[in-house]
Amino acid sequence: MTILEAAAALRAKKVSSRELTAECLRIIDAGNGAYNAFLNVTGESALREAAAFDGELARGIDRGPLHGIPIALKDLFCTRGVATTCASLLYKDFVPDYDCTVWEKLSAAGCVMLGKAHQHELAYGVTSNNPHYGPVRNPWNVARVPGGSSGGSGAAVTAGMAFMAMGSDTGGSIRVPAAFCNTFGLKPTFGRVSKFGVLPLGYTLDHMGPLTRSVRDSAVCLQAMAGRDERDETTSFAPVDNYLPSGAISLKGVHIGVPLNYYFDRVDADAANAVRKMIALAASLGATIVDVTVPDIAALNTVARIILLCEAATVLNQFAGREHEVGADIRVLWEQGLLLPATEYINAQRLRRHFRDAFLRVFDYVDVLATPTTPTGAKKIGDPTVTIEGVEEDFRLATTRFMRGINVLGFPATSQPCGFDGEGMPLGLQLIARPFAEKRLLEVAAALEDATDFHRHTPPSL
Amino acid sequence: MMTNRMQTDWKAVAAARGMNVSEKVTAPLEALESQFAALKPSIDRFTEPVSMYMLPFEGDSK
Repeated sequence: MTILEAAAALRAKKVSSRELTAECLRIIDAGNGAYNAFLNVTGESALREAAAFDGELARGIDRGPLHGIPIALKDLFCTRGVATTCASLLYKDFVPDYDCTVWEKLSAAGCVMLGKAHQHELAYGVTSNNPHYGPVRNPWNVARVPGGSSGGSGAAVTAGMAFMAMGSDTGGSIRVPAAFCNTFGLKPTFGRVSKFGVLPLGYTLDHMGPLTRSVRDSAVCLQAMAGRDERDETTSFAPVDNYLPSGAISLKGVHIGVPLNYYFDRVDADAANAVRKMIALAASLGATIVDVTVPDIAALNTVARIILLCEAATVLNQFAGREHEVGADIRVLWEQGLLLPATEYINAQRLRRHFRDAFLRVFDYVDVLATPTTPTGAKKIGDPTVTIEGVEEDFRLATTRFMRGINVLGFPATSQPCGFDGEGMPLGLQLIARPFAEKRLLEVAAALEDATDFHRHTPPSL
Repeated sequence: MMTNRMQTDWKAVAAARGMNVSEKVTAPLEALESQFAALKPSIDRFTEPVSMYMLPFEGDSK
């Protein structure tokens, strides 16, 4: 069931928020041992919130489509009185005395918080194989990673534990688990959603967004969260659109760019074919397909890595002397960031505007770009490398190479289900648009979703 | 400290800062440095020398 389906059922009095919440808690109770998707379940308060929202509906108070909908937050969104650990020992005793803006807005819109979703330690990785709290496991195959860093969010949504789970995305951390777990994931434009009260990783790269079972569900979540926040001066004054795509969407007049370079190099055949089929589908729905050459993504990824290494080391250095408390993968990245000179960081930032402008010129000709989200489906937990077309690559760098550069640009991007590989693991289609074009981006994604049923598939074990 | 004009001896840099780091730290840095070195000529070509886009005030309106 999607959020919009649940919202309709609530208003038809076919179900109550308390019943929806109790069912999510039942699924969590039954499945969390297998998937490890939640670090902290706030069941009692969730049931209380749900009952209160039921009471409001009974009195004619309707907060909108998220009224009474049970959701989860990645464990880096600060919530008053609820432990927020970033799945790290560094924050193990941190209980915020304030709410992040995202939760303030979602709560005001009627969401019920089920608890905190597990993640890659400190959001600094793509496997969610956590040395302190155990690995998150992919409901499609518990021997596989769910992606990360928002791995618990992806697993929770695909397993039916929550109608939506919030993620954060610094180099692909919403889109990777969305692709690996067969959910929709939205990374909005930088500045569209407030970062206030979210534990940071990369100050100029972090983005907050939802993982959901449908495009329209993410649209209503973005609607609730978007907008200027005086407590986060990087948020934009740009007007907030009406993001919910209409019932029937035409792609006539929409130009979809397909990169000739980089994005289809060293991609598993199954992933490339699945994306090509979605592009052909878009054409059959009236879209004009445009071959484009995009700026140098490998160079952009280099810029992204330098910026992230330096910014993350800055974040982590508040914990200097506690390096032994982080996982080996995090410690390597932390030390790399400490060694890079400030000149490299500044030069990387200087190149950022050049790449942004070069990418904006691509969008003079297209509305969205269509690419694979990841070059493969999810791999086994513990595999540090992946081999694609005979080339062995670091799993983290390979998995994020189509995404991390987009965080440097700050452009909005999505991942949506588009098929399965030969081992039955989900694959993702990434769509990228110009800044603040989420409305068009979601319309294109919804048109493709309406014409397919990949998003309706659930893990075989469920 | 420098093994040649382009490549930093990262182990020496780390040692100078009192850090004892492994190949897992330095090998990716060497690769990253090489990749970024190839980009450096474009910094002057593509960016305005007097501009640094981390200013106290944003130049563009949001």
